[in-house]
Parts: sequence; C-alpha cells; structure tokens
Amino acid sequence: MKCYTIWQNGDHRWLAFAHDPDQPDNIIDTNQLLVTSESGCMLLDPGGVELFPAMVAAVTQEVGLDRLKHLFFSHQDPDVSSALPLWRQVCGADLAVHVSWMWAGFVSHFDREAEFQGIPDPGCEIALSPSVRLLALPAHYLHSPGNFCVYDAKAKVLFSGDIGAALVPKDRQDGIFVTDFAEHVHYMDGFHRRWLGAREARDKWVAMVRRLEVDILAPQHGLFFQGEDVGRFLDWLEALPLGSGLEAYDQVRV
Amino acid sequence: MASGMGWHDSAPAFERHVRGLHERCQGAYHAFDTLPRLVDQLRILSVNAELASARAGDHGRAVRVLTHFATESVTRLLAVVPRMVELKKLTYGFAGTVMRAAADVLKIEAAGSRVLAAGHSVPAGAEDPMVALGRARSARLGALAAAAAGLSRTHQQLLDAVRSVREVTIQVEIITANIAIEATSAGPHERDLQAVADTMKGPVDQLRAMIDEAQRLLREAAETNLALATLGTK
Repeated sequence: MKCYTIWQNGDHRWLAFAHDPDQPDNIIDTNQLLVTSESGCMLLDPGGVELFPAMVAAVTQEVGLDRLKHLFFSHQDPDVSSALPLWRQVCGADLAVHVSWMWAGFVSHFDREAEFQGIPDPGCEIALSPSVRLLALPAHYLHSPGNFCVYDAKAKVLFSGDIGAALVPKDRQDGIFVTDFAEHVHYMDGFHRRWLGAREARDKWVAMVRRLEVDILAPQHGLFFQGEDVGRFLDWLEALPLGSGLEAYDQVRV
Repeated sequence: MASGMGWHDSAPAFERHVRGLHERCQGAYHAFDTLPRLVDQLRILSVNAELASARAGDHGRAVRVLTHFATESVTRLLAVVPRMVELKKLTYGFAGTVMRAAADVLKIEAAGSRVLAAGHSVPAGAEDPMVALGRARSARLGALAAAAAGLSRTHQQLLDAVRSVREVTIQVEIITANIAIEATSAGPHERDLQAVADTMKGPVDQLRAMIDEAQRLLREAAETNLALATLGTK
C-alpha cells in the first residue's frame, strides 16, 4: 500500500493510501484518506474488509491506532464500510463512526455493536482538534441517496467519494494525481454515466462545489484532481449525460 | 501458531475446522429435513390403523390397543419438531458467530504480519500497533471460544432430542411388529391389518436411517466444536 502526502501544514496532514500491489484483481481499487491533526485523526472511507490488513500496516507507519478517533463513511457500500468491526476492534472505545443517518441501520449489518454519529442531510462539522475542523457536505444521489463529501477549508481539499471516481489500469497508476485530463476522461466516463443517475443532484452538487475553494478534489477510486483540473472536472461532469442504465428499461420485452 | 511472516497464523486450523463445522451442521439438520413429513405420514397411518381395527370388530381388539399406543407415540414425535427447529436456529446462530470471529482473527493476524513485514516502525509517541492487534486478536478468539461453547451446548440438546426421537421410533417399530403378529389371528381381516403394519414399516425404517445419520454427524460435529473451543482459548 502506497502512502501519498497530498497536503501538509505541521500536524495537519492529508494522506492518501492507495495502489496496494497485493490487492487481488477482482477487488475494486480504492483510495483511503487520512486527515491528521495535533490530536485526533480521521480515516475517510477506510476500505473493505479485504483491505484491512494492508491498511492497518500502512496507517500505523504514520499514526498510532490510539490517535485514530474518527471513521467517516461517505456512503454504505462494502468497499467503504465492511471493515468497520475490525477497525473498532483495534481502535479505542472512543472511536466515532460518521455515516449518513440513513445508513446507520444498514451498516449495522456489518457490526451490530457499532454506534454511529448519524450525519444529518445538510451535513455537519466534524472537529478533529480545535484547529482542524472538517465539513461533511451533501452529495446525495451521487450515487447513494445518503451520500457525503468532506471539505477542509484550510487545506482546500475536497474528498468527493464516488464523484470523480475512475477505473484506472494498474499500468497507468503513476502517482496519485491526474496528469492528462483528456486521457483520464476515458477512465471515468462510463463510471459516471452509470453510477450517477440524478442530474438535478449533480447540478446542485457542482454549484455547491463551485462556491468552495478547492485545490484538490480526491475521489475514492482512481486519481485526484488538482489545480485547474478541478475546474475541468466540474465542467466535464456538468455536461455529462447520466443514468446510462435507464436504456435497459427499453430493452425489456414483456 | 507463528506464521512464516513472524506472527500468528490460525488460517490452516480455522479453515479445516470451520469448513468441517459448517458441513456437519448442515448435514445434521439436513438429515432431519424429512422429519415433519414422516411424522405426519405416521399420524395418518395410525388413524388408518384405528379405522381398520374398528372395522375388524372383535378380531381387531388387540390391534386397536396397539394403534392407540402408536397414536400416542406419534403425538410425542410431533412435539419434538418445533424443538428441533428452535435448536437449528440456535446452531446456525452460533456457527455464524464462530465463522465471523474466525474470519476476523485471520484478518487481524494478516494485519500483524503486514505490520511486521513493513518493518514494524512505530511513530514517536504512538502506541505499538502490535499491542492493539494482539488485544483485538484475543478478544475475537474469546468470542470464538464462547460461540463454540454455545454450539456444544446446543449440540448436546440436539443429541437429547435425537435420542427422544430414537426411543419413540423404536416404540413405533415394536408396535408395528406386534400389529403384524396380531393380524395373523384376525381371521377375515388378516390381510387388511397386515397391510396396515406393512405400510407403517416404511416411514419407521426411514426414521431409523435418518436418526443413525444424524447421530453420526453430530458425533463428528462435537469433535469439531471441541477443537474450535480449544483454538479459541489458546
């Protein structure tokens, strides 16, 4: 598992864990992010159960498990949340688990003893320390109906969950940032057309993100956008036809 | 149980025992899948036997007494069915917990091995991850042992239930044999009463075979439980 420092100012860091060479090919590649502060740390979309051993080994090179005080799930999918019971076993009893209020009962199927900090629909602030305060921002219906991004106004980093996700071949995974936007579009086009189905939600999300200062947009799969590529991505997303699966309804012969 | 990478590796033992546990649980209950149908068949047959013995008048007096006992035995068998269903639910609950805990232990052990393979460097002032992983592993092994103990208790109760079914089946078997004997002195009704005895023999034989198979699987499952409980307490 490689660790990329994508932003740092003292103890306040954004780290990305990705590209585990031992990950089996049949398990979708994911990015896990860690935000550190002078006190607590938060893992964003910590990955599925199959990734847990590699993630523990990688994370503990950077911070102690006793400093991991928050887990954030952008949504309920297993590649995001299925390792919850294992993280709760190795972290302290004061670990807070943040997920949309909608999914608490569903994610409990992975861990019935877990307690959740249900994120309300408009989002909320998550304070890692007095100086590091993150915002959970709505991204509902993109793709999950109870979906959140995380924004750090100091670092100007937006963790966007599945928005901006790309299925990048292993031989094109040099580094963590997009270097050729036009080429990268090929790896994310199909994913966005199919996984995202709500155009109205997409328009509202793009408008919301345009109001933020974002230097780095970090999705859960694929590569990150930085600088001008953030604007390019928003322009591209805004014009994209969504809901490719809808065509299937016209192919049914009943 | 240290692995080649330097930490614990329970995978080979768990794989063997957990797979065996799953197969034996499934097998034991599968053996009883036809119990409700067989008991219902016997119930109908004992009613038929009572009608046939009533038709035989004085010739069927002894058979009537026997069929009364047969009906009582079948009623006892009927009472066992809901208990078996309840035990099946408990068994699968415990077996699920064992499998889940075993899967967790393997992932925690894999994490420990990865930490060691990565050089086991601990950031300044941070807790050693191997301490947290060791604690988590012990907790999950404890959960595994507790579930294995629950499984053993449930298996014992299931064995008791199987023993009851076996006793009743033997009673019905003896009653059926006696009906056949009494039929020989039933004069013009001999053929009817003999047919009753012959028809009852079919489900009784099936019950015997089912019990033998279930007892064999449960004996094997008990050995697996013991092995799992031992692993869990290590």
